[in-house]
Amino acid sequence: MELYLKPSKSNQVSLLQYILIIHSMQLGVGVISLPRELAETGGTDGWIALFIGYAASVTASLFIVQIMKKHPNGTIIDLISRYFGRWSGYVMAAAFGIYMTLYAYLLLDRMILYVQSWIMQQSRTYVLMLLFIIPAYMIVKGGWRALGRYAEIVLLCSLWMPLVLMSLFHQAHWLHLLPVLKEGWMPVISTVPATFLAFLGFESAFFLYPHLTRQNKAASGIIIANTLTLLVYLFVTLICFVVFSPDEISFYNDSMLTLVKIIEYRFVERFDIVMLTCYLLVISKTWIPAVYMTVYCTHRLLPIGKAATHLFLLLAGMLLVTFIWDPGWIMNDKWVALFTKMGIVMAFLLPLALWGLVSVMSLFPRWQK
Amino acid sequence: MMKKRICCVTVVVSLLAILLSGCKDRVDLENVTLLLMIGLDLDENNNLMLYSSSPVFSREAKSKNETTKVTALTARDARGALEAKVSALISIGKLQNVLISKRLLRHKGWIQLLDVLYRDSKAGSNARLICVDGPVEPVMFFKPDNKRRLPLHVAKLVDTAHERNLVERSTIFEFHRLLFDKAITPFMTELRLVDKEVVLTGTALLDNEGLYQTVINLKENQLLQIIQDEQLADLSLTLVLPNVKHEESVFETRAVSFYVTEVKRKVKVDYAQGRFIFDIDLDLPIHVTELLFPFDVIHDASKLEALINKQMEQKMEALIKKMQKAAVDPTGLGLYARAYRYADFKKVSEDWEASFAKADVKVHVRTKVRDYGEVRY
Repeated sequence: MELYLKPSKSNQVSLLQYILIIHSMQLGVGVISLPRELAETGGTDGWIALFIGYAASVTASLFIVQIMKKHPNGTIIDLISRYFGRWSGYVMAAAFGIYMTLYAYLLLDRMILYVQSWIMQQSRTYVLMLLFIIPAYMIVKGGWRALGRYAEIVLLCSLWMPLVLMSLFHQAHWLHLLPVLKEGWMPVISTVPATFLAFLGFESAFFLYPHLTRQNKAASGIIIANTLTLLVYLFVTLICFVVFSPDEISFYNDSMLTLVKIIEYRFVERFDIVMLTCYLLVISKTWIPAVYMTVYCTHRLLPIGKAATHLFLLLAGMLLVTFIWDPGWIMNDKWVALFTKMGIVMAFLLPLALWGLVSVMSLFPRWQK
Repeated sequence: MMKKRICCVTVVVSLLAILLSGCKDRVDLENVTLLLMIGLDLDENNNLMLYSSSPVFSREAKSKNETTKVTALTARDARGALEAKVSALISIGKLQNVLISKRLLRHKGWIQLLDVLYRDSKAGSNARLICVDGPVEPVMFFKPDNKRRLPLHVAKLVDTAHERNLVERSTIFEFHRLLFDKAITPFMTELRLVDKEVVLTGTALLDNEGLYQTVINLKENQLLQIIQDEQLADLSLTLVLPNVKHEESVFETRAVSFYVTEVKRKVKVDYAQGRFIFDIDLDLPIHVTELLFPFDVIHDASKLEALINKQMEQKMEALIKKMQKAAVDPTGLGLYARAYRYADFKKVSEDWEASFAKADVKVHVRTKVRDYGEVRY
């Protein structure tokens, strides 16, 4: 099995896979702590900010699709090289390479920190990381098609989770949500930045677009992906808001897991461990595609050796960084905050600017090929 | 090809060898002592005493439980002292009950003792918090010979009594919600050891710092759960109706008993002259199960309903007065104040209990006889 980066028959993705890859890159670690983050700044109206974040991410997604239509057989790097020259392409590849590396590393690290805090406090971070890196290597080696199939399987495996969470509704205190907009719009507006990180992941369309079989459906597909993400976020956030008191919700780091802790069955207590273990699958599909895109970028920058070698070196590098640096929760939070700022530039502002530039350039006959 | 395969196998085997030694979290069940119940108390010099009770799975042991007592700085600090006494490593993942003495509940800052149960993700959050009227030690060391293991017996006792609306039940998770929510004050089940029996006596009501204020008995608790709209399984009330026609006897012959099959509650909130006004409308369909005085229910149902309504309203208002006097509000009315009168609530949210103490709470009970039983007299 060889890792091919160029679009070809063997690594095309269907529309469903395209939707699920984008949706699954968005949905991951965010769910666990999102309700708290929304409540911290937005109080009980924090959930309204999700709609604003959703609108922003749909807008940016549509811009991305519009841009990619100009050069349907290549990724964003090819498009930039074509419009702005080879060197701009290199710069772009470097920027996306760094961005996707951070994406993959920080989310993987966060996932491992969750495992450490909730299940295995005494185990070493790099040991756990090694366990996750081996399957990641195997999936990424299969290219976009394997990533798409993985997203499909994980979705099927996680369908039971919302049903389990629904059992918490009998402890709901709906009065917590009233009055809506109790402090006006200001808290809601200030919560919007927190939702940006939650919706990051649609920028993978920059790299996924040329592999899509039915490109005429790209726009509606990406809207469906974003909507799926919004629905999951809204569901979990509302459950947390009605079960937790508005005065205590910001005291729990991982609202969703703390909530699942109170679910009890006759045959299993401590349901949070079962839930988190299964949820690891969902988290894993956020950073595994990011690893693939990182490899794509590094291979564009340094076309030496096979892509699989790049992949191996990248994963080994991540392991080494964890072995030496070993960031804890506080460090990881700091870096994620930085990464979010970068994400806002790469995923929200870049499409807008590019779309403007490319549209203007398309008016000239030279670019109308 | 063969070479490659050998290479792969070697790598996998060596990785496994490294990994298995890396997981330090492996604990065999034989080496675990599962704490099912812990008790917190103060001795006469106000030192913190911690009791633990865990099941023994050995055939040779005579007793089913292993109960230990240590003095400690904090709950977590006690772990070392406990592990030096009990037969294996302590685990609090299966904790069922936390017994706390009433005396300890009167000391400021006792809540910090629970910190470990919230901070440590390994601790279960479904353990019941129970207040003990009297010292904790005799309860912890109590070995009933006609019941199962005491921790499990107590857990079951609290759950079923709560199911019958006799006591409130506050788990660790629920207690946290009540404690931090400004619009409601916490409560917990209260029990006492009465000659060779663990008896639930009612519900302890605490203020918003968790300090013990007052206790309500089983009957008052039934009314409280109606007011809270928390009526669970069958709720059976027995009322003595004064001034009905009855025959004087050594027995009480003015009693009527009935099931309340559901509670339909409407709460109206108002704010006038610097105090909150709550109007609680309760619609209660009832099934009469016992009638000790002659009464023509078939034709005079509304008369009986009126008598019952008046009795219940009096009792509920007395209960609310009691809670207002103690400046506690476990009713959940504060949630309504916050939801429907947010601007007014916000001004007093830091000291909601004081506002509740001043509030005017009106209860209107409207019972409806749905069924008067199988006999026509």
